[in-house]
Amino acid sequence: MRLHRLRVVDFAAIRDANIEFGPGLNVLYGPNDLGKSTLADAIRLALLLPHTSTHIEEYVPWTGGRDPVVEMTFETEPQRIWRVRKEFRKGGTALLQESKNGVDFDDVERARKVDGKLRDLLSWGIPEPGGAGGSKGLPTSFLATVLLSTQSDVTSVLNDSLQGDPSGTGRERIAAALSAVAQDPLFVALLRATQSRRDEAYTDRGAKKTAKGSVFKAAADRLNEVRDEKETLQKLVDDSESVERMLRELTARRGQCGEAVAMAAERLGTLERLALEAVALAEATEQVRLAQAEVTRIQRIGSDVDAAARNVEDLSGKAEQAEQTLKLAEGLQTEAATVLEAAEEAVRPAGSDAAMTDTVARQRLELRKAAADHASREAQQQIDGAMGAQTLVDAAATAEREHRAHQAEADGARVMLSTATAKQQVVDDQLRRVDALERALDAQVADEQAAVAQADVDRDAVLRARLAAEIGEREALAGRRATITVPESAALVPMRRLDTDLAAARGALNVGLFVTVTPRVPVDIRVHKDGTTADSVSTAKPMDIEANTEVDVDIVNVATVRVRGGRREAQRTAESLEERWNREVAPHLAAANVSDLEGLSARVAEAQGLDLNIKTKDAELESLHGEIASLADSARALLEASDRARVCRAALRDTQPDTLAAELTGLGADPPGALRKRRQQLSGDLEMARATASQVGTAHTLAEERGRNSRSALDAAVVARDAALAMFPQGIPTTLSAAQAALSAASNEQEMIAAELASMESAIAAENARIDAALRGARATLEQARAGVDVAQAERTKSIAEHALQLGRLDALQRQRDAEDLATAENRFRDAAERHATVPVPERVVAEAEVQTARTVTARAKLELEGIEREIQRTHGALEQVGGAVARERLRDAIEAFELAERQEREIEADYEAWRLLLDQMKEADAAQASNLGQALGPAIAVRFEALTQRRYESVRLTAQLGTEGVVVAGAVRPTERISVGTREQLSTLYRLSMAEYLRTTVVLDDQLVQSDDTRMDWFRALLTEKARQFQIVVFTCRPSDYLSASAMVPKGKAIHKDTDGEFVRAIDLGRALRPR
Amino acid sequence: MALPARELGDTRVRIGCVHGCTFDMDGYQTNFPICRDAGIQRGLDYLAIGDTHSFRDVTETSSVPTVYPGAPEPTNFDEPGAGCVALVALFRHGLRPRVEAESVAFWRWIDRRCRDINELRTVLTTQDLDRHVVRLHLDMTVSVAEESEVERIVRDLQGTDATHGRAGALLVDRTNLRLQPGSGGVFPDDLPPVVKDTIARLDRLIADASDEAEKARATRALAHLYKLLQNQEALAGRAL
Repeated sequence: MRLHRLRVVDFAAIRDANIEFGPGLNVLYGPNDLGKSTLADAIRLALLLPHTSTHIEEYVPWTGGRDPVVEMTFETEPQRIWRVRKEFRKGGTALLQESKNGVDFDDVERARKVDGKLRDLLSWGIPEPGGAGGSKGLPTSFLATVLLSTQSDVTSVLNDSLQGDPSGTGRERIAAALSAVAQDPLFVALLRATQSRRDEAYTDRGAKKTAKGSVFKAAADRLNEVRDEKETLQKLVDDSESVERMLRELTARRGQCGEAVAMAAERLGTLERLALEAVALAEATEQVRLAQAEVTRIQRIGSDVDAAARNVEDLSGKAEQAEQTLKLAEGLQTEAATVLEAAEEAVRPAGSDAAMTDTVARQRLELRKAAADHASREAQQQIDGAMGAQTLVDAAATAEREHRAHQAEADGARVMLSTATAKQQVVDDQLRRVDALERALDAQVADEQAAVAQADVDRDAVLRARLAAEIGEREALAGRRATITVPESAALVPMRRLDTDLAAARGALNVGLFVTVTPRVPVDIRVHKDGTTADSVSTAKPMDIEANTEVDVDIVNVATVRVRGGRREAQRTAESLEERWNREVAPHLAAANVSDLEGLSARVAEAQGLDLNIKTKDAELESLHGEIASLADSARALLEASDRARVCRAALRDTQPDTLAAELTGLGADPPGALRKRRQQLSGDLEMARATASQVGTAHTLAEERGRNSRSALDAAVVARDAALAMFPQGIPTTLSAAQAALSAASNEQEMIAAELASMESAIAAENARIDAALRGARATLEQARAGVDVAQAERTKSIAEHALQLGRLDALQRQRDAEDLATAENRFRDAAERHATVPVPERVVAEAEVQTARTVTARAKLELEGIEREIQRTHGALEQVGGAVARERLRDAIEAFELAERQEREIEADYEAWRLLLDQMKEADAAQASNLGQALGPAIAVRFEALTQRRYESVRLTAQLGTEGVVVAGAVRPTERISVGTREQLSTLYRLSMAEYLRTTVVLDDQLVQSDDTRMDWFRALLTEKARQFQIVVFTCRPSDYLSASAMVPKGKAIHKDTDGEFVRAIDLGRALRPR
Repeated sequence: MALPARELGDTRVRIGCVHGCTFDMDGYQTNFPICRDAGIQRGLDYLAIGDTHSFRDVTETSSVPTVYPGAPEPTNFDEPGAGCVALVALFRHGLRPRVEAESVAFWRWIDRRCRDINELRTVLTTQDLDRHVVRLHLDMTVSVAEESEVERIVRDLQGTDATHGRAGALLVDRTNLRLQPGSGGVFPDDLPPVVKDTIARLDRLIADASDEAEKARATRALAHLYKLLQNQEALAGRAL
């Protein structure tokens, strides 16, 4: 590295400085307190300090002003020229630029990245800023100590080493520079690789790297990731198992329920089977009974036929017997008739005419009698017909009466139906009225809600207006408050204390002064006392001046006399307090635009009042915001309520809400409840009316039906009656009377004929008494014979009739028997019997109620089973949601992945622990084997140190980490603390120069050799001049002659620097290059 | 199922495809249950079911084959019958179709447990290794030199950023891969003294270790060193 240019602005005591460095030895000189060390610090800070570090505070100009700025241009290798500019303090900036020609720069890094890049370029063993273990202040390292020395600790290099470097880059750089003489290349490569692997996992302080990008972080992230996934899946599986458990329970319940259903179904089946068996058995029994009855009936017909046949046969016998009896009786009659003829023949000569006459008369009477009988029969027939017609008339009247009764019943039912319908209609109307009332009530409620919502909307508008007003007032207050700049009220207390102290201090100065000026020649005197200015006085007389605290007497062109009261200490105290007053109080007074603390207090009070008012306003605003927020839905509520009211009114259709208002008012305190009650009551009434109407309708229908039937009967009766009446055009009573009269006349005629006949008969009898007496025997015999014939005939007729009757019956029975199929009936009977035999006999009698109960139980069990099935379906659905076995599989995979990640994390940890152990062991071995930097660098320092000290010291012993063990004197190592300060400074300087030489980099020496004698300084001057051709050396000194010859100094004039020795030596006069504050 | 039953006289060939489970595997999830005789009930001639990955004919004795053709590629090590498609020859309705499993998988999933370095070496000889997903269980104790070879073989199988692995995919279980404690004379004699000293120090740590973890750490450090040396020698064109 080589510095080109340094520019410093507002940096500690330096207002600005602009220095251009030469390539070799640069001697920057100037008097004490000029800022040389500050410039050295500026170089250090430009290279190492992050621009936002608080470490810069000690470089902020004491007198205030702008933030410190350092800009430095340097070159790391040919055509790689860098310019870093840092404006320090919080909020500052940093910029790193690169150039090939030193003129045209390109931005490389900005802000925080600037320091990372710089440290990378320097490779001084300082890690990038940030991260755990990073330095918060000015970072340091062994190379920083060596190459950027400080005047305050010249020999620090002897107490430092690479051991304390936070990063290995310094060692690597030195090792690279010293590689030719340092470690075995293989070992270096191994060490570098091991270090690299170790650094992947651990910080420079040995802590595990846990930041993003570290191996542990990656493994931990992976582990956390898979752990999270595992836990998520575990939860899923837990949920799944819970669902599965539920599913199992449900399945078990389904099984139980299924069993219950099966049992119930089985029981129901058994009961139904028993019931069916009982029914089937009953039916079969009935079938058997019917078939048996049929067979018995047919058999009975056969028996009847047989019996009838036997009867016919008996009757046939009886008829033959009666025929024989008749033949016998006829034979007897013939004999008796023969006897009678003989008797009559005997009688005939005596009375044939009389008998003829009697016969004629008797025949005449017989004819009359036949006519009377005929008339009587006809009359009786007339009477019967009239009575039949009268019966039909009566039947028609009865039918009419019945019809009228049914008609009356139908009319009554119709009236009742009409009444019931009317009642139903009334209830319907009332219900519709209730509907209307409810809708009206809804509309009313919606109107009320709309009114409330409207009120809310109005209130919202009012509140918003009020909010706007309050905001305006608050802004006004805030505006007023913004114009007042006052400190916290608590700050007034120390201000008052300071005021008091200041007053006391000033009081201590207010001792009263009396000064007498006695001129010896006339002089012009201007007097200032106690801060006031008096006019100039030209006088030659003594002049007395009286003041409280101070008097300035300006004797023009002669002297200025200042007299101040009080002791020096008191004055300092007062000055200090005044300074504090100016610093701590005066700005506040000026800001508050007041002149004293009372005014400031008033302003503070005013500000507090305003703050309080603003807070009150804020609270009010918050309250208003809250109220407005609570009314945010009012517009929507208004809209909804209006819509609702509109819908309700639309539902009312033609009903005017006003007409319902009175009725609604009459509903009492709880209209919805009253309407609900009324609706319930009306619903009950309506149901009742409907039931009544239904019953009455049924009755009406029945009555109508009965009326129609009676009407048909009446019509039939009327037709029959009219037909009957048509046969009696004179009317039934007339016909009946005539018939009864005819019957009576016929009866009288019959009686008269009977009497005449009886009279004639008695006459004939008397006449014929004798004949009869004669004939009586014959006739009696004949009569007996006739009677016998009649009896025989009657018997025969009876037999024949009976025989014919029985024959007809037999014939009918035979036909009936022939019509019947006994074999089929018997087969049917057999089949029925067989079926009956096959029909199972139920074990027990089952009641219908029992079957019904079983059905109910079965249905209930099925219902429960269906419910469980639905629950199972739902649970299945839930199981699909939570994953089931898939989730378990994924969990198994996740557990596997988690275990793998755990193993990998352990592996990584063990791996990197092994790398760390290897690195430690290599370092220890390295140290032990002394293949170290100290061995490489030590001789170079030792040779020069020997030369410098003229072999007073034999060697310098350095550790592997370049720590200085001591110097070898007489074969013994002596700690450097035991050599003189000057020699220690020289040894330190040699160390720095040697290191810079190996690294081919700039070394800054800030007055390092102040304790050296001239001889050694000459030696160093020669060494520096020689080394200036190899690397850049920057020396800050207040004694330039120690480093420069007189001719190399910057000549008087404006030149800032002067180059000599072929431009390898540059003298820089900081008195010209630097402007102090 | 919404599929209507086959009508009488309908002789068309009917094929069903459905996702679900026929409950023929114990413990398998019961989502989307399917009757074993669903094919018969629905008048199908062939019913293909998608759910599990292995080929299975669950109704070999039925007139209607109900088949899980499985996934055309296995997706895990425990899917022995996966990687097939079902070749189905359908003749006419009522005649049982002929169903054959045809392997079509590109990948083979193998689980290998290696108990010594020779078994591990034989893995490299597996035919068509690039079509295999290999899960390697290293169940062996090796020296640091052998461990280096183990790593090399694993690297060969797995591939690097620059080279393809010989195996299609590789999972390595090193849970039971143990290192023999100590350098065991595997390091060359011509190492720089400082390296020899490092090895000696690690050997001493192993010998003096009070617990196995410390011993294992030191052994692993030796293995790291051995691999570093191998790399260095490789860079130098020499064999370690």
